[in-house]
Amino acid sequence: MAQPIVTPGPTSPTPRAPRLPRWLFWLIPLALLPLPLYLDQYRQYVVNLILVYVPVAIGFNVVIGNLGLLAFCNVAFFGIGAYTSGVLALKLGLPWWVTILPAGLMGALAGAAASVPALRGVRLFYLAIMTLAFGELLRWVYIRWVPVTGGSFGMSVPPPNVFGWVLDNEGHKYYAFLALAVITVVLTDRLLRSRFGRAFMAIKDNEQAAAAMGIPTDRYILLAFAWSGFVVGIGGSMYAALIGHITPIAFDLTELILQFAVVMVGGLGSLTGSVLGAALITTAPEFFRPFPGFLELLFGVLIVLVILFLPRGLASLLARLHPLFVDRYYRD
Amino acid sequence: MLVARAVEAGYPGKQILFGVDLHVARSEVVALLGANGSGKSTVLNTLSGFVRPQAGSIAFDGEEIAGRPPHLVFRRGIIQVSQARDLFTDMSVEDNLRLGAWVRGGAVAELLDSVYRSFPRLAERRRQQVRLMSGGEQQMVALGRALMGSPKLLLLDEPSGGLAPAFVNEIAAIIKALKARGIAMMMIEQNIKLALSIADRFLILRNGRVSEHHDTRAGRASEEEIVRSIYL
Repeated sequence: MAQPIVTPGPTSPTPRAPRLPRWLFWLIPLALLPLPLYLDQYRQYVVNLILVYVPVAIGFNVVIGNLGLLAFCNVAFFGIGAYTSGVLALKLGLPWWVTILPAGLMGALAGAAASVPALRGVRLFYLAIMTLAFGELLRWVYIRWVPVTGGSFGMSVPPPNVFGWVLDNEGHKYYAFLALAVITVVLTDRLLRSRFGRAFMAIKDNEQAAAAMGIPTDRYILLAFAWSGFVVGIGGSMYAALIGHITPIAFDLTELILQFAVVMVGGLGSLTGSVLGAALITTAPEFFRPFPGFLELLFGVLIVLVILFLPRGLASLLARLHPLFVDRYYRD
Repeated sequence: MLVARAVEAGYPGKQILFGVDLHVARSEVVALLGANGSGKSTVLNTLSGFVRPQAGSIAFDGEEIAGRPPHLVFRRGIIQVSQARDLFTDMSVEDNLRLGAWVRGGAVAELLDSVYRSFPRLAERRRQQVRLMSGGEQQMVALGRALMGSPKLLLLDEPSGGLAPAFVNEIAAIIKALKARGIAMMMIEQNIKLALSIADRFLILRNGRVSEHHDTRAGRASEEEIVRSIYL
């Protein structure tokens, strides 16, 4: 079998970008380890907030970037994670570290629930509005379910505690957060490089063709949503530990737009981009603080500029600087 | 190998097939002819699982597959190469081919090798984005990708549709080579000359039913006669 059937045409080999050695990645968290020695409590808090937004952006990106579905329920997962962590700590007296996994699992459950419209074939703006409604529905639950959530006033969460060690300053929280951020990045990277990630890519590119290739698309859509919910739920648990007080207003549409901005500015479908976006969008308001009233304006202009000149986000800027930074599981 | 009986299918609010009976034997090539709107594509889409039949049975190697989702039908070895070609246009040639073997995994490298030997043109462009290729080359990617799934039965929806004449000949050569390898095929083809030169048998579909069938091996049917029975 397999004699050439067709005469060869002209050759046009396209080169492949060189690959970055994997171990180099670990230098980044290592280099970040001594950070608390140089930062005051406030700056450390801002850095911690960046670390909260790392899993939040990564999870969001899996669904809207890698899977390519317009689902806007990220804030729902974020809120579920935060409330799960908070309720378990406050009502059951569990230490924070024990609540992290349940927060992720509840997020995953919410993800599975939020995937139902997508599994029924709802797409594009219809999917966007339905998933948006899911987040708002949960916010209504936070407000109405007063005995558990504390209603509009929210609930105060006891200071986080890891193996009996109370994380009572920002520097201590930093190490726990850094570990969680690294774990979520590494696990998501693994997922996206596996055959699961390739299935997401195929579904994003051409869902019908993916099904025709024997890919059970429904199962992978469900998986992407659940993974997104899991990772973002962990982010929610970190948020509860960082802020110490959770209220329904923290999970409203403004927050969703902020998270969307993190993903868009960072770069759709890029893990590196999610991290960069989290860093930029979280710290940008700090730089604009000397100009009261202009903050929102400058913030808006920044986002417009990035979208206008870097439609693939900050990650594409890096990729343009050096082929080593080209994301391998997202092409276009 | 494939036996469909009294298949009724369609889209919400519009039934297209009203009791289609057909069969494909092992290593046999069957052409499906018919006027526009006679339901040819719907037949293929129903066989491959993209359209759920409302009634009737479809047996493949003795197993009932009617109403199974496309990915399970694919696993049985029925692979469709559709008219829209359904390629992953953002991905490279090689990524497309690899996805063709997604279900089986395993000896992907050998399969790739054999597809590249059959299609040297694809080997040279393995890193090229499919979006940037000509219609004929895309059709080759689609066929190559189907071969990656080691098909038992290929469903071809107008393999020569919209291609330049030079490519029509190449694609015809490819399909003949596949036939020589013993792969069973059911093809829709508007180019009747092409269809008759490859097919062992042909069926004519009219208003969602098989109105005639002919065996090209039994004797040459005149082209004109066939065209008349399709359209008049």
